Amino acid sequence: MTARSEKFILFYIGDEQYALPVLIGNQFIEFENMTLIPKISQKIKGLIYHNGNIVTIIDTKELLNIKILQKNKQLMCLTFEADGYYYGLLVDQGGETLAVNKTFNDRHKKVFSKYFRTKDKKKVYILDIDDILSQINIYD
Amino acid sequence: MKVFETKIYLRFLSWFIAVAFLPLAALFLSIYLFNSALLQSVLIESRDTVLFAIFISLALILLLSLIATKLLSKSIIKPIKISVWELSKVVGDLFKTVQNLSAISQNNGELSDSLLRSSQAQKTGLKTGSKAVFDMVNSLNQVAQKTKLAATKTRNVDKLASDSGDRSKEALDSLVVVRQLLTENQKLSHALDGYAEDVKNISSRVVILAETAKFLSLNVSIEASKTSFGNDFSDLVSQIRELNIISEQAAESIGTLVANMQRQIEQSGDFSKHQAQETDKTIKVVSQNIHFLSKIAANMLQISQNVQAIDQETQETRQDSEDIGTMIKKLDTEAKSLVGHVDTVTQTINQQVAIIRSLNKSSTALNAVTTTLNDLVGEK
Repeated sequence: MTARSEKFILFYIGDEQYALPVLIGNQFIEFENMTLIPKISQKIKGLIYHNGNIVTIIDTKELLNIKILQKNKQLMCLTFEADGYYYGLLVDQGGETLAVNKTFNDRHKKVFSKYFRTKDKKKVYILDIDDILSQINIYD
Repeated sequence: MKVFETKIYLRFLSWFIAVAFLPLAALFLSIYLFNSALLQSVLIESRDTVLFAIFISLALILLLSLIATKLLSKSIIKPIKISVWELSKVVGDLFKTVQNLSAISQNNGELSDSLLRSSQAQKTGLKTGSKAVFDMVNSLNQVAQKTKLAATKTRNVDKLASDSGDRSKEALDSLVVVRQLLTENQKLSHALDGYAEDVKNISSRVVILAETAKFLSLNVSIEASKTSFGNDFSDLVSQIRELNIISEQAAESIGTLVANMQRQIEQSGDFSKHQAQETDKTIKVVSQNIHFLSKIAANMLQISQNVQAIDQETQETRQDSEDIGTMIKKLDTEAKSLVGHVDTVTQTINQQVAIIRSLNKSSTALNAVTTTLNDLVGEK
């Protein structure tokens, strides 16, 4: 029996590589004008309009609690669709799409604990959609 | 005058008595020698008469001699007295004259000594003056030589200043040309700046193109992973990835090229601007230099003229010094001649002294004569 492979889209936050499962509506886009939302979690950067859809922009660094002072030169996000809503993860740089046969679970982490290893044995944590939505908790 | 006090009177008287007695004695002697008997007989017979006659004769002779002496002495003593008086007067005058001559001679001697000393001092002074004039002439010759040298050098400096002025003008012209070239260069830099801006725009478009290609590549990859297509689509994805890589490299190269070009253009512009400023400064400095050189040339001309005037004055002064030297030589000759004259004057004074001594002797002799004559005529 052959193991069922999962497909992930790689992206970079700083120098770290992360992965998002391939879903409907996945697309790397670049945007300029973002509408800010008052009195909302810092994990939500704002809203953009793209291809007839309202996309909620998630601050991935806040989400992953990464303290990097370096600001993005350009605003780039990786979009995905969940429950009819469109979200965009702010990323620094896009990466390849690859299929992974085996994933692991980091017991020390409560959220975003799944990961896989690349060919050069580097750990790449997977940003699970449920974990993301549970963290931002915007549309209940 | 007493008769018996006069020696000549007595001599005349003695002589007359002798003259009167000698014939009488001769008479008696001849009578006695030839006829002594007669003499004896006369003396015996008429002794008293003979004695009386003799006495009368003697008395008469004495009286006549007295009268003759008196008459003769009067005729002789008077001119002698006059002569003695005149001689006394002449002796007095002669004595005074001798004294005066002695005083004059002494003065002349002192004058001669003074003249001798003066002429010797003059001679020494003239020697010193001659030496000083010789030194002065030598110094003036040296001054003249140095002045000529200075005049030559001044002329050279003047020529150099003129040449420098011409060269500075040429340099100024060249700098003006350089300034024009720099202006052209600045215009070119501006034009290049415009082109660089255009290239920058093109580069930004290429960057956008690369970005688009990048997103296209990423998203095509995602889409490819969602559905399973054939090998052709995989090739397409690969080509798009390749396009992405190439466009990224191209965008990066163009960006680098544009940045370098812009930097070089800016540097060139800055350099041109700086060079233009420096050229302006250099033009200003060269203009000032030309101005200064003109002034220096004018001053050097003035100095050259002054040096020439000094040279001329030095030559004239040298001529004057030579004239002074000639005059000093003449004066030296004159001083030598004066020394000779002084010697002559000294000799004359010596002769004069000898004459005065002789005159003194003559005066003494005259005094003795006068005394003798006075003694003779009985005068004191």
